[in-house]
Amino acid sequence: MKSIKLTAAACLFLAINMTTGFAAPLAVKAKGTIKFLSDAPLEKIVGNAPSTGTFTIDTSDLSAMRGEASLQVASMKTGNDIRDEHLRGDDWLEASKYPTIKFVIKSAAADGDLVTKGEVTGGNVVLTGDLSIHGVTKEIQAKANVKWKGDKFKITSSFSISLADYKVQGASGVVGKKVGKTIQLNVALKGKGA
Amino acid sequence: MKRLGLIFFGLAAATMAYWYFLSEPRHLATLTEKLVKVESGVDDFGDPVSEEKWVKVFEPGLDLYGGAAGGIAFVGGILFVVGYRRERAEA
Repeated sequence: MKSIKLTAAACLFLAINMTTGFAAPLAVKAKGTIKFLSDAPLEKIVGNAPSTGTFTIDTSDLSAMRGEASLQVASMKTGNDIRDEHLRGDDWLEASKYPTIKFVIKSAAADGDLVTKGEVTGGNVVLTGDLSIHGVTKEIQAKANVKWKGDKFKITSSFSISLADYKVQGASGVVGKKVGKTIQLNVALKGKGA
Repeated sequence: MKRLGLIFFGLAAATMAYWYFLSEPRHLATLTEKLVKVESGVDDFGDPVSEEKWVKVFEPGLDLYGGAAGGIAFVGGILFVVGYRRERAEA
């Protein structure tokens, strides 16, 4: 009798999971690009870099989302080779000393309800985490949108950072005139269950 | 000759004015590659796919405009000085 009850409970659990689309955590390896924009009085600079990340999502509770994303400073491009060299150089990001830019999610808060359209479920989330640039780690908050379909996952986010916060000073007199004091970052990563 | 020198100065100023007021987008450094959006249908989530790719371009910046303006101004300066000296010699 006990085993029948256990089997029935297991079947019920499976049935609930199948109808709710697997509430178990989804572990994802993702890749994409991070685009960066600097809007200074003398020049607007647009660039990007390939990025990778790993995320864990509880598909019924976005606040349980964790993960990290990173990019290699050496892979950042702005459309001008000399400027790219400067970007990686000692006055700016010092790629040889600090080769990686990394964001690690410490906590997440759902920003609204989960929305399901067909097989796609998603929602907005406010991520709090540590952003490390140029050897400086600062806690930031970033609004993000996450979506998943089966084991496929997508995250997009847009936020700004201040160069001064990360001790990126640049050549004398450049920041604020030729390079914006704040840089906008647009993140777009996609992946599948790991 | 002096007049020609002044014309060259005017040309140098016009080159800089073109860079500052008319070149759009205005660059300090010459752009040799540019991010271009390539729309290609919808992704697995029903969102439009807009990949961005680097494509080769040539959009001159202040490094080239400034160099050209400097060169023109230098020639203008030489013409002006030669003309000035010639005028003085004739006077």
